Amino acid sequence: MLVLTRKSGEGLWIGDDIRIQVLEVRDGQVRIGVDAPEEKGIYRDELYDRIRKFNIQASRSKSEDIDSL
Amino acid sequence: MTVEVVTSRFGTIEVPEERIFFFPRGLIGFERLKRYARIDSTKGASIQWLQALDDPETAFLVSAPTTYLPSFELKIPKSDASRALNEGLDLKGLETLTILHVDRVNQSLHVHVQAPLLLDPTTMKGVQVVTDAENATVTIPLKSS
Repeated sequence: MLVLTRKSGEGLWIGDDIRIQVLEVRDGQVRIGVDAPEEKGIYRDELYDRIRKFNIQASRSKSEDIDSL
Repeated sequence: MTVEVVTSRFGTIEVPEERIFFFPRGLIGFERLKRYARIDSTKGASIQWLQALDDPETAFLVSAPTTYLPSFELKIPKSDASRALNEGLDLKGLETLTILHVDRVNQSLHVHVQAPLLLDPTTMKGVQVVTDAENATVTIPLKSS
């Protein structure tokens, strides 16, 4: 992972179309602003992880599971 | 034309080409598996399997959201709609499917309302979108069989 140090108000670019800016750092929390093309989905990790876990669990469905539906 | 699909659940089966969907980005957590066959379950066409063509072990139970949630409304965020368009899906004729997970221990069915699948029957492409649903899943108790 690329690791960079930024101060409040500073940012970085990913390619030429995504800009991430550190807006505020306070009490162990960081407010981040993201400018990205509309079609880029931006999700909090926990949401993405939750969906991934559900998908993984569901992908192992057994043929018999359907009997109770 | 049919395609031979190797599956761990149903053996090797022949699937008509028109039942094979291509997910350009795969599903969330399954980014490498992009081709899926739609197979009717033993309960008929109301519950189907989406069987990955490139992994015999991976198959999802899916149904129309209204099968279990008659008042289901799809709210696709702008970002997902424009991504679907970018991937060549026609937003007008899309079919929505929700992934199901049966929890046999607790005799309940989880319907994954937060990340439904959109399928375009014209281009045979699909995408999993993340909606603004308040809860990730809706849980429905099952009658004990």
